[in-house]
Amino acid sequence: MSGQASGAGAGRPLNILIVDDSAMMRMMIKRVTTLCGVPIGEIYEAGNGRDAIAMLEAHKVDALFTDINMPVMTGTELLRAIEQDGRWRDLLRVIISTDGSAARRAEADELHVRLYVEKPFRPEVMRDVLSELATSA
Amino acid sequence: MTSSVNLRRVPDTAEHWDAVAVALTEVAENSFFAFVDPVETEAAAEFAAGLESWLVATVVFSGAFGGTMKMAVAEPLARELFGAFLGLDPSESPEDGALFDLVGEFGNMVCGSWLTRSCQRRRFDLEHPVVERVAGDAAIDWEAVRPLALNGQPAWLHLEFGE
Repeated sequence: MSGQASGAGAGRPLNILIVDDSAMMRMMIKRVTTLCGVPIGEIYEAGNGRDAIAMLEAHKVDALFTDINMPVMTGTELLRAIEQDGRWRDLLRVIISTDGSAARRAEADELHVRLYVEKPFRPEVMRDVLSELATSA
Repeated sequence: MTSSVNLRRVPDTAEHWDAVAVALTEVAENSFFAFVDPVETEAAAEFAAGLESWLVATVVFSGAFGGTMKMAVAEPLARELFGAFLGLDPSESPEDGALFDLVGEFGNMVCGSWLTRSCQRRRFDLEHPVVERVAGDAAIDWEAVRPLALNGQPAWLHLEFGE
């Protein structure tokens, strides 16, 4: 069923979409994700919010990891678009950003962001995030 | 390759300079497994002598206060950090695009970490980092920057507040 959050559940590996304008940061998140011991299915990547929406429409994605400051379409704009589209109601949303201000966190809460990770982060933080997502998917 | 670095001296903003240096230290340790040491201004030019090139990341910020942060690292150091960040063999030499991307993200993390603490509850925005290669013998006003050693190699920070 394309274009919908798939609802991992029952120990099925999580399909993840990593959205960041830095290819090196995407590579690092991908590497940490695959090393942390939580079952991971497909890992998709996008360099901005607009490309992320195209990926969501084309693939089954359980969890979204998005940066905030990106060209073309920011992470906040992406999350607003997801919020307004019923197809992705169950999508688990995580922000990974250098901006950890209270103002941003409050905005994230309004957009149903489940977890907020500040860059830089230690690998064990990502392991904890994925473990929490895996149990709630 | 740019042959000079245009830096303007800033007013008394010691608190911010210290905070951004702390942010750089934390980012270096957490993301690159690298360690930062201070370098005396008087010793900075000699410390950087013989360097072929710098990679300089410029990040423009706005919000509660606006300005520009520059973070420069010796190019060999940037290549070393690349391997550490991605868990690659140090002998692997990245293409310029990947290297510049990494240095930009490093600068982005430093600026974002600093502003998260400095702005507290207030919102701020960061523009996409711009990275350029600067000749190692380019004239640098060492009085206007914060010289540092990162894994024993030259680096510096500069802050400019304004629009």
